[in-house]
Amino acid sequence: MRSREHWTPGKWKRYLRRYWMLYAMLVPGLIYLIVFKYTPMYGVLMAFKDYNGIDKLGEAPWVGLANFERLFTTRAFRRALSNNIIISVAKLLCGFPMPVILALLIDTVSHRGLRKLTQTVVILPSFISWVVIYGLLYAVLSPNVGVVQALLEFFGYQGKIPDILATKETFRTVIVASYVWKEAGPATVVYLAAITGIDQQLYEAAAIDGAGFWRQLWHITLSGLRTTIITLFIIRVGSIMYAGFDQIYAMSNDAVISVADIIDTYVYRIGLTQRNFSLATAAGLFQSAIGMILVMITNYISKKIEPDSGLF
Amino acid sequence: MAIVKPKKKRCGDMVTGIFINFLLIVVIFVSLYPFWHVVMYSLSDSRAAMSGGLFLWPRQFTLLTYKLMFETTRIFVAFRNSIAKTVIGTIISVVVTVLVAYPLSREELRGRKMIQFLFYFTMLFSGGIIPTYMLIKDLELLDTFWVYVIPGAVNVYNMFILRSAFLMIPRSLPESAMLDGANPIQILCYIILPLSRATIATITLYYVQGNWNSYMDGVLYVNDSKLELLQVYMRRLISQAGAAAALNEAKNLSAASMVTEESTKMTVIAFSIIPVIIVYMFLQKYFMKGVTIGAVKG
Amino acid sequence: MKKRTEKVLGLLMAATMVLGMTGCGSGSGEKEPDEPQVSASIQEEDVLDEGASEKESGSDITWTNDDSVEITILMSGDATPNEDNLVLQELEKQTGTNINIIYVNGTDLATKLNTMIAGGDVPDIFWSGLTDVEDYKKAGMLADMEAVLNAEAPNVMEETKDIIREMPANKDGIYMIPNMGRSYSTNINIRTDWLENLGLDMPTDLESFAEVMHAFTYDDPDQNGVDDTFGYSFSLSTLTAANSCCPNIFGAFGIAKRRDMVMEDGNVTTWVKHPHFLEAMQYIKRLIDDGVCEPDYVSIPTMSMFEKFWNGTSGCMEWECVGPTNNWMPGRYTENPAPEIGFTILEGPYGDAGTAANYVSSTEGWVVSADCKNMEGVARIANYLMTEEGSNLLYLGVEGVMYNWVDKEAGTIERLGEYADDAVHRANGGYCYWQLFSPASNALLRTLNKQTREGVQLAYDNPIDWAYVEGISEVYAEYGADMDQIINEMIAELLAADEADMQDIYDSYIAEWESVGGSDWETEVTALWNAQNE
Repeated sequence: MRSREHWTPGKWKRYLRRYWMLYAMLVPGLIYLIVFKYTPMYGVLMAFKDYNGIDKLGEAPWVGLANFERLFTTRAFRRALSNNIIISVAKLLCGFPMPVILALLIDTVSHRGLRKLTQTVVILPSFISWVVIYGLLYAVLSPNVGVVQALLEFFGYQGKIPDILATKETFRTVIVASYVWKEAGPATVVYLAAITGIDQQLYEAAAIDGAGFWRQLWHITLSGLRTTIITLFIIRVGSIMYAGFDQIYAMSNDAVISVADIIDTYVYRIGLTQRNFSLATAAGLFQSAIGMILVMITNYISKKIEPDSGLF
Repeated sequence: MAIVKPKKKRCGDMVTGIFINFLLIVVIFVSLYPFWHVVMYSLSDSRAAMSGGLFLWPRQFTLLTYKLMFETTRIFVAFRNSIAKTVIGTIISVVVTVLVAYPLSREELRGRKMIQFLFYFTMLFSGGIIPTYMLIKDLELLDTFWVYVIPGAVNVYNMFILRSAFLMIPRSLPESAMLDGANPIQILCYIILPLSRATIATITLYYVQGNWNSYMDGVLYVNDSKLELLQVYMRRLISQAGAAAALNEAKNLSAASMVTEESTKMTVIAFSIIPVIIVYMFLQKYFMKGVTIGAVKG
Repeated sequence: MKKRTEKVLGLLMAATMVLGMTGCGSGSGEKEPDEPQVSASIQEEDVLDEGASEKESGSDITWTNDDSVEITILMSGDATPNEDNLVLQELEKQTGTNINIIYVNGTDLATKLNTMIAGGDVPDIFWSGLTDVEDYKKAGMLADMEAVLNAEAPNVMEETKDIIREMPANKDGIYMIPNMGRSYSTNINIRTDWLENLGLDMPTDLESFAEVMHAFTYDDPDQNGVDDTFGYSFSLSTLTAANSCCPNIFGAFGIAKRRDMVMEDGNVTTWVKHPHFLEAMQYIKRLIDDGVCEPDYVSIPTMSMFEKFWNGTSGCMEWECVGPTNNWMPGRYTENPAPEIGFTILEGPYGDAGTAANYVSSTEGWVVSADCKNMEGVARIANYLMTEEGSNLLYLGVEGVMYNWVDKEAGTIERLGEYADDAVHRANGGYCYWQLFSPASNALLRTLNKQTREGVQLAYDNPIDWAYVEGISEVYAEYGADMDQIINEMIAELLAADEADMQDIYDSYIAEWESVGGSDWETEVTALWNAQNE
């Protein structure tokens, strides 16, 4: 199929007679995509216009790259950009392997009840809003009313634990750690599902060959998860410029914002003082464009490693 | 499909086994706790809940917040709408997603890289709220039930997850079925879907969760209160405009004054999670056993 | 096994068919838009023509008036009234209108309004601020209500007469109707039962306040033998927010917190450039260092801060007294008996005392869409609601059905039957819509208890003057967010710094503030202020 030979109409005919059903299946999805995703796509033009939200977008005056200029020239944006990169790279590095590890861990458990319970509860934190999570973190980590402090005092500790929610040096660590904890669940379930899709006979055959636990883990389980891992990784790379608005918005305060202000929180703040659709669109376009470039690169590399694994 | 005993090698070492079990118990505790906290808080008397710290059990058990939520006739309508949205929306979404993901997992589909790119592109770039609103208005979907299930029909992330699960199935299976004269629909139904049931269950769960908790479509596209969603109804009970607005209300006359914003919030969150968890419980069985490809052939 | 897969197959087919149908639906829908678009554009032209003719014809303006047309009102709130409720029915009866209220959560109000406007479905009545209103006016979106209000709404014109013509949005007609009900000023709420336990007097200046806070922290004011209390509740986020915490401390130094102020040289600038600002910060810092403030003031969630006041951990909080002595009393307090709370005004070293003056807002108000088909109906609604009777209806419900007055003078009422329950009351529309066209003597204010009404008055009576600049500042629209953020971060850093470093920190932040737009803004806003006061 992949040959570069010239396709004659006859060949097409034969091909389509055989595979028309595959294309027919795509029809509802493609109609959906074109109507609901691509028709409104002209909205990205707002980034290059001065749009006030009242007149038709077509009539709004073009401003070229003025919105981008306005964004990139402020010191606050540059700070947000660098925080954004630091936080989201840390989230990617710490957060991405976690679900794989968790899924493998859960998969090793032979006790059915324990396994069932774990794979149910692992998804729970992701359902709870960051505001509530922050309330909990405060209840646990506060040096004055926190549970950790109370426990340490119970065991005879005299001093006060450092206030990591209010200290610039520790705040990013809190952000990343709480992110890993809260958001590991959904991907873990995806991996668990993929693991059940691995042919059991492979394990059987390997066992006959005398493969031990680690070799099975490496050669069968992880190798079976390859496409899923690569798919999720590429998608995750694409959203790298989105460093988690809800979390930062719920958890940060003015004492630590200088290390936690990200592009989305910055844009949100600007939006509060001015009804500026264009600026927000420009920021989003910038974030997505960076994501797109990184995805292209990742996709290219992954196809070199594993021909069938790229997203496109 | 015959059910075969798992032949997977377990980690033989006793110490490692105990260590892993211990790790998992820690995972269970830290994952379960926030949810537990929310539910216990929602079942506690608001004032008793104010002493802070962690919750292991309700403090002065009461169902007052739940009772207050059901005080209006509107909630039953909202409940019905949300269930309808979840059921119909999930069915449509899962079917369309399967129909997209399957051809895209087939190598013989010419142009699939381009189609995949078209799908992926919409994950990063979108027209934004206003153009989408205009589109939905032009399609005359405003204030209709269909606005709940059609505009969000395909979640591209779910589609790619499903596609990657389809890709795990050895290519020889559909190919040999094809030689036996099976058409792609038959291959999909008899071979592909049974082999990837756990991932189907996963995306079903995510669609259920997405539909049950979707909120902005209810706010932006619907003004008719007969079509109100439960999330829209409930979130109106939590004032997010800040403490100032919430705290200046006169609430000094009755039972409602005994309920703080925090209690209401916890109840609303519990309400948005528990139904999803119930669905997940039902889907659990698809996660428990691995598939055996030999069994499918026969 | 086979049966199941067949079932799946059947389901799949059925679903594909459904999809095919909807696919067709959306396919035909793509053609359809032409039609409505045409009619929509015709309508727009009509409206524009009408607007033009209105302007030309001058005083004898006619307005569209069709009582059968539903009036849509977009407003925010945090209750869940039934769609068809007693209060709305009564309002419709009183005004002979047909009302549809789109009631959304406050957080989503702006998004909802923006999409409605962009989609051309402008609600008939909505709330807006000056900056947006100027844009809306330019686009011909808003109705000039001058004539219809004069003819149909004498109460509105009478109630708002001091301000309505002075509003910057109303220079060329009446586009904006203000809410006359003022927001409350902030009081210092102090536990008087604790003062009594400790044998202390109500503090009246900063020194005695610091002593009382110290005693509240270290002298066991609740006499339970445990060291579990502290004096002063505040959090960083409420300190940097406009109202709420600390304005009386700043007031004691002559500063109106988070307001623009006229300096001695006549220039208008931000409150943090007031000459006594650093002194005020040093005072707050002294309280923190003495250990008498909320120890987690940086990281505490706002609700937890409140809870510590409600459960008797802290003895003083600056907040609108309507909360502490009225709305929260006694339901929110966990102690039995409920705490006793009093108010005070603190005098500072230069003889200043009070809290930022509370002006009726002249840059925000209710506006009416130019597309409104029932202008008289809108005027009648406004006219009815700008009375005590109308305000009673929206806040207290239908008199005789939902409540009765016990003592109108004292503002005491009794709720009747099932409406005694707040949830039932709200489901039937009580409380939900009170912000709509609120008069100065509104039902909220009139039904507060005596102590609270005195507290509200006390805060109003001790104003710290500030410059209410009504004009739109271009610089602020562009750079305001950055400027404000620098100030917020400065406050956070000043509170955490050593006293010796405070001046340096202050200077460097102010220099940054000036460089990101502060200096330009000062010039602009001073000019606006001078023009406003000519």
